[in-house]
Amino acid sequence: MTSYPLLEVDGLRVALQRRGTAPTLLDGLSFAVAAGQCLGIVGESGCGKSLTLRATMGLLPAGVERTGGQIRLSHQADAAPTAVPAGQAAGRGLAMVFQDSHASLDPTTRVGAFVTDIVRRRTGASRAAARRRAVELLAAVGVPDPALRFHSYPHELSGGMRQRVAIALALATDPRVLLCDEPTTALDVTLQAEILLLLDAARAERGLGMVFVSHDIAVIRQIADVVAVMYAGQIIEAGPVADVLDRPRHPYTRALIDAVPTLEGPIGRFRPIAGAPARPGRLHPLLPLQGSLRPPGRGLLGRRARHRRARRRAPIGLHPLLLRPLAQRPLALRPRAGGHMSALIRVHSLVVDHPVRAGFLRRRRLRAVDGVDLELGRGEILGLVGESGCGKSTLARAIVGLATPTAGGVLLDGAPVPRRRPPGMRRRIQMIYQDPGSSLDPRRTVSQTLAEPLRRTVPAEKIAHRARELLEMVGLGERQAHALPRELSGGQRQRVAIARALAVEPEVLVADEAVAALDASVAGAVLNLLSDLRERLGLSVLFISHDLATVRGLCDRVAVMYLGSIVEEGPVARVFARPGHPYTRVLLDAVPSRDRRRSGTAGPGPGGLGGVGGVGRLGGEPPSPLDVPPGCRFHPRCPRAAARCGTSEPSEERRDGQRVWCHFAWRHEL
Amino acid sequence: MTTPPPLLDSAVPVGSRAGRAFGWRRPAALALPALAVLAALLAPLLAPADPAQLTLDQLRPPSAAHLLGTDALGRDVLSRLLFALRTDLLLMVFAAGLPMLLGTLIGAVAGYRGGVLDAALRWAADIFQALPVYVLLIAFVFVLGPGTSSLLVAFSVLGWVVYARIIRTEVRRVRERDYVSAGYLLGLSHTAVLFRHVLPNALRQSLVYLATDMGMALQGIAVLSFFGLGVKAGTPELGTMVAEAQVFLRSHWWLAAFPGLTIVILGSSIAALGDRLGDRGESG
Repeated sequence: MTSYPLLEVDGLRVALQRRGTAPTLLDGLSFAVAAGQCLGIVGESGCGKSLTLRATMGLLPAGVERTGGQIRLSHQADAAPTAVPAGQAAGRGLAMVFQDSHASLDPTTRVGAFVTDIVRRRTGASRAAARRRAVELLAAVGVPDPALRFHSYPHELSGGMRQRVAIALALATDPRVLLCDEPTTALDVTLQAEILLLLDAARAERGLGMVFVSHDIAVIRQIADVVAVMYAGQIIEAGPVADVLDRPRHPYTRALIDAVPTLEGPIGRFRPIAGAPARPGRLHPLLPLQGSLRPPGRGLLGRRARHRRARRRAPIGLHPLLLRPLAQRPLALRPRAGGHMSALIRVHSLVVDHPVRAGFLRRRRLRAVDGVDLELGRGEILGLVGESGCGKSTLARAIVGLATPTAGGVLLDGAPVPRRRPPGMRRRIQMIYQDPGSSLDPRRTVSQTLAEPLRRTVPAEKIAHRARELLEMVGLGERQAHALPRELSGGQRQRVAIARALAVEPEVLVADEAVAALDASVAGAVLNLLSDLRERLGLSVLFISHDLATVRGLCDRVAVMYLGSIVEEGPVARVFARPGHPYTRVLLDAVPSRDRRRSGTAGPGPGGLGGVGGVGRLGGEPPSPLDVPPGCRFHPRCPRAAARCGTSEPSEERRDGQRVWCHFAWRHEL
Repeated sequence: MTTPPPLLDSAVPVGSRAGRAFGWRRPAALALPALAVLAALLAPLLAPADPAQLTLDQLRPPSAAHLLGTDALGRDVLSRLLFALRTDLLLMVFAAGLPMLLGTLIGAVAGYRGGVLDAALRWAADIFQALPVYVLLIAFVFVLGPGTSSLLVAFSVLGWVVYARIIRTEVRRVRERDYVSAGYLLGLSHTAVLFRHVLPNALRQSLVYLATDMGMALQGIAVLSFFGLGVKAGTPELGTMVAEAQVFLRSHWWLAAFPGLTIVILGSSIAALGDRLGDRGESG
């Protein structure tokens, strides 16, 4: 073993180069990575995590430059690291895996050719030898049938498979240090566990140094040995994972950890960090941290933007804001787990097909939702979980009336809804979307957005007042009322989207991955808001998410969906404590823990990630809804599958308000 | 290099090469059309003489009395040029604006509704775009008879296709945004959603094209008028002026040169304005 670190970053400073000024984005970062070691970097969006990797790699975006510090890289074993000049790509020895595998692969090149090309450039091997090496690499990263996949284009591969190819590509350069920029963020938990295992194995086998950037503390906990916490372009705390995450010394680290929901421990409110993060270079990042963690009301809007608007518009006097229920509707009682209540929405044997093109002039029907029965009670929060592509979103769109059922239907308050819903009926069920960048009309200010739905029910002179009330209800103020969506943060935009939905006084909110694009802290605040609105207004919420820890913290009941069908449904506490379906078990096992490494972990150090995936690792990826397996649709991937699973469809089994569709319900624990 | 960048030296140009290039292109592309519009608006005040006034001072070269000379009927060329700008700019606005209006409506409805309507639009657009525009333009005006109204009809019938295509693509992109379905769920009708939320966010590309198209329309009008298919005889118009000057091309250069140059410079600077808008759209 060498005594030198592979990569040393010393006092790295990066600044935005703008006319006259040079705002600092990274302020004196120092870290080192040894062979076989993984450094995790955590922090919220905008703290400079990804920029750190780009600066190390020498791939800074235009207009951003390294203004100080040294990056030293050891090119050979047992050699002292040498400095990499600023403004030059580090090249040999470093490789990077990006979050978006779509963007990191060339869409017009077959993946095999791409890997072969990199191998040839690096080693100068003959075409045949490089091909063999490329196939080996694809096999090593777990691409099934590598010789066959060799000829695939990136778009023909699933997200998980593309990320594997991207890793093969990075390994093809035979790097000493692998830089990973949120490589699992865009993936389902099951795939995330697989990719983490793969990266950890690569590190152990090749003695790679690794820098792993993530906003997800649980992921860092699973893969890193050493962790650095970033805030506003600085490292504010660093050390061995166990020390920093178990006994954080900096209050920000503590708050960051607390904001992450978990599958363990008591269920309570989410614990977001107050205020908004300071922007690098705008404020001295450590000053506000000493007092209340964050500057009050700062960073919500750029200072300049606020001044500009203040000039443009005369100030509007603040009315005394009184919070009151939206409608004179009796508040529903919070439902007890397993208790019976009147169903507000009843979905019965719902089938939704999408027509898809399958070759020339051939059309097939893709069955996105296949015979779903589901009930949503008044004042209830129902979670709907499942991997991407399982039909969650289509089910949601059918419930709100954006997708037309092929068979079956939706009952609202006991009455069937027509195919084309009249406006009044549409308003009773509102939707909150995933992408905060797309849920608001970019040309309208917040108050204009809120005024539009109010115009039908509220007299003109009261609209402004009501809009302010709505904003207040979602925790926004006068300052945001005249902002355009692009001037708001993601969390603020989601709040506006919720306020807009509340403007028509709905009975049901359907939240489709509504917090998936937000930082844990910001998400926590939005989730608390949803929970409060349910209490105050008696709203029912259908909460669709792939994040099981969030569902556990928010929902009363949960339904697990697989390939268009519900496989398990019941009260959250029961389902999470004692899942009846093997798929639920597998999903739960795949969730990385915030507070500990998964059981079976050999402890920190190279190769110590044996436990990710736990009891039942999923084989392969979900089959396509175009090609549903016979019998139990989960059986090809099921760790418990027996012969009859492949032939007969399981029937419903009930126990204590929990419903499970499995031949081996509750009998999968081996 | 670890030397800090010069912070106070504002003379050092910072920014992209393109940004610096626009430094001169923007004023030029903006100033010329603005100047032309101003001149057209103020033509009655600026013109030294009545553009229709016949005199015996025929075919005089540029001089202090007649800055751009006089034509075969003794009319002041500068005055005619100024009034011709009025005709041409007004025609230009309609010759590009009417097709845009038509194309936007068709493209927006087809793009938003999709299905058969959308397929029909694509089919029609393919056919229209395969046809030779100028030949058809001339054929149309022949059939309808010369004059401004047939000119505008011809431009609209042939010009809507491109707008419909651009708008359709943009509408289909915007339609997928969440605020569109949110608007529908809030109780707006599809028509209201289309006109309030979809169309305003889909117009940008076609506005850029509109500017380019205006430059083309200006030249197109001049060409048709040159062939005698445009405005009523006697009306001051740039293309007609060039046509009338044809016989004197060798002996009396100013008759063709000034209206000709005006067409070329104005047409291309308006088109450049469109390019400039397009570039800005791309850079965000």
